[in-house]
Amino acid sequence: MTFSVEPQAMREFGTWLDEMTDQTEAAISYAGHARVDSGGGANLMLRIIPAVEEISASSDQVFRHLRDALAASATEIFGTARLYEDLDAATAAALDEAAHR
Amino acid sequence: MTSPESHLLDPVAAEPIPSSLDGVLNLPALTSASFYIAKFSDLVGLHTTADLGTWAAGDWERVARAADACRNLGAFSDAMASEARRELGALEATWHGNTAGAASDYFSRFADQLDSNGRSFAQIATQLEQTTIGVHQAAKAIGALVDLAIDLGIAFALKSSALVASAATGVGAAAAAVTSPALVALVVKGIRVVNDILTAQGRASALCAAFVGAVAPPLATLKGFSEMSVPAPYDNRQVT
Repeated sequence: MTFSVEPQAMREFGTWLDEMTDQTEAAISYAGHARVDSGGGANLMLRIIPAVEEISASSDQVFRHLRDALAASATEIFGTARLYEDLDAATAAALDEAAHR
Repeated sequence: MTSPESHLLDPVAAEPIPSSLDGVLNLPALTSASFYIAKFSDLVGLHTTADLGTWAAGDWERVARAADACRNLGAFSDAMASEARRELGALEATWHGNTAGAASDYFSRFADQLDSNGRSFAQIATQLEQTTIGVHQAAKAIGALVDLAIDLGIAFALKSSALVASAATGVGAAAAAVTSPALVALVVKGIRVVNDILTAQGRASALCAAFVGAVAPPLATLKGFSEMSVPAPYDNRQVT
């Protein structure tokens, strides 16, 4: 495959990943709305509370994991863009040729 | 394109039965003695049988809001998946080669996972909504049946008193009371009401059990998202 790259486009993608990281932070807070306390009472709805608590805990984990994955991916994309900017075109192409084999 | 965050609206509890329709459904209660006892109890600040339905349903509004929150989290995931594909398309237009191919594969799977999360949240929201509505309706039915049981109890007491009072002598009055066809009919009605209460309670319990089973698969998908290596962060192994 012919190698070509525009580091600026990579930076824009990295910036989008950063924005999604921030938005996912908001989703982590929002996932608190899925929490339902038993309230210490005794009623019909109490039977589903353990499952709802599990949903709430899983939602929290999902968005924390997503935030971490987005943040680390952004770092990697910015690092890749910087790498290509630091290398001349021939070296970058040779590096790419050897990559992911 | 809609920002994922724009889907994180304050969750609202969908009303299981519109208030207007609920009023119509409760019209027969206006003719019952327990309705007026309940109204009197309201005036003097006592708990009434109407509270029983609320107690039986539990904090259904909070569960309904949790359902709406799950639906919105699903929409958030769907919107991020769409944005990821759009942004990836722009990147793929300018970045070619082996590394670009690996990144493209990674972010495509990432978007697929977000789609899967969106579907899981939507399924969970639907199950929560259906269960909330079912339990709320069962609880209201239980409240109404308890009202009916009170009415039957009052009728039984009044008829018993009338029979005893109308007896020529006290001798045999109690026997007359228990063998009166009207009283036997009230007892039979009372037994039916108790059975109906147990049926409503059983229906609600079955709904709750079905809910736990129905949310297990989407819940497993969400748990898998956090536990699987995809999506681990994108890793260009040449960057340190």
